Amino acid sequence: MIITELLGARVFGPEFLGFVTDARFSLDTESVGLPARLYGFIVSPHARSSSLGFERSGVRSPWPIAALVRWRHRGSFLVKWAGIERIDVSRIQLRPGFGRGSPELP
Amino acid sequence: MTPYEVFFSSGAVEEGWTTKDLSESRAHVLVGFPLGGWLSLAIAGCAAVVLLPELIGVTALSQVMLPVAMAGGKLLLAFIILGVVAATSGAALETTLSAGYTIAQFLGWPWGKFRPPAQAACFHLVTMICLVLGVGTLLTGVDPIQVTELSVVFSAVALPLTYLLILIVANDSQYMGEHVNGRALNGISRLLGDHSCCRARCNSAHDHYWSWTMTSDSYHQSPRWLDAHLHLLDRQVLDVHGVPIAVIDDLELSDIPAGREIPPDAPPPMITALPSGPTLATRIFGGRPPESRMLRTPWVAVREVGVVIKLSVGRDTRDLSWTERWVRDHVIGRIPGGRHTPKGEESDHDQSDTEAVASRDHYRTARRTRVRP
Repeated sequence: MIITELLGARVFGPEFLGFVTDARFSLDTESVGLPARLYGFIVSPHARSSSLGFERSGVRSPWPIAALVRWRHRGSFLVKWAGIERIDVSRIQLRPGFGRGSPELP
Repeated sequence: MTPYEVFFSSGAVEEGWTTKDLSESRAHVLVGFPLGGWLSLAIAGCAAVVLLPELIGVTALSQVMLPVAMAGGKLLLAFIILGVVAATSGAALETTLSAGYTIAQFLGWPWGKFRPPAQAACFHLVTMICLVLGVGTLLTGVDPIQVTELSVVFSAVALPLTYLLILIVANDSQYMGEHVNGRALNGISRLLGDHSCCRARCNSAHDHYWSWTMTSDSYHQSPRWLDAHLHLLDRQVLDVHGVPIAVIDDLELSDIPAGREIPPDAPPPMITALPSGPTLATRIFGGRPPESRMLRTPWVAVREVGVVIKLSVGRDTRDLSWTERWVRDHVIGRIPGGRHTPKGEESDHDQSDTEAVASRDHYRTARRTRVRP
């Protein structure tokens, strides 16, 4: 599977939750092969577009653009891989009781 | 002004500018630009004061020669003709190079004016086509002033789009480090619409960013988080020699059981390859290019993830797109001086293999030759 099949996919829990706006990977720099594992998906209730890097906790400027992008992606959350029950074409189903993490990058 | 942003920043990358060059860049911005603007205004003012009362209209570059020829004769005329040729040629080359940089970097072609033409065939072909188009446009007899005015209109339309991206990068501490824009500079640059405030700083981005890439001794954080949009997609891929070979258009993931329930203890998928290919049309009109047209860079060959993605292996001739190969073999390679094939590449020049075989070979090569940081 390729990532562009997942970006923009509609995410459902018990009901519609939003769109996949990004995929987060953990890069293990200590292991051979520098494996990059899928950590989870960023789900935005209102927008399919990228958050232009403003999902990082330390990026707040230029403030008009940051405020606009953050408003567009208000209510976004991170759902970990373990919370994903099923992946179909343009649709992701989450497990009952999935966790909502902060979408901000450390 | 707009296309020159790409021209300047690409030149800075090619010439390896670092934070040490910031002072020189600031001098250009704070002294050079105002001086150039002031001189242009002075020339326009003098021309208005001296020539307008005499009802003399300067509408062609050749008219500039007349007073020089009257004052200095043939010798000075020859001198100024040389100057005009140098100035117009330089401007033409800057403009065409700018087009080449923009298109090549967007489409992921190898690029660079210091690179032998055969190594960046499409880039050099685009610059040549733009030069011919420019000369051809003037040969039609169209008024160059009107062409310039029309170009400025298009530039004004595109300016906010390019400026926005530069402003975002200039405000990004992850790129800029200690040189990130402050509120005052943001205000000034917004007020003036001046890229140069950001550009001088943007050029130092490479220097800072590499200080926290995974190969740096100072980087100890593990794991490091990568967001697909933010850190990987649309990034340029450089081979071990620093040659740009592609732009990442997608990420290939290991087994995801599509359409079936995922077991709770299923291991997370991993990035296995970085596909790149002709995605421009499909991005605009939808759909996806056939898999056979996509080139796969195996993830195991990745050495560094930063402003660009660096590989631990050299570019294989078969990694080039068919357009790059075709242009190199049929156009650039046939121009005298255009074929400076890098050492060792000719022996691998086998275009009969399928992309699948090429990918597999590359994968094996990558596994064999991968250098641990």
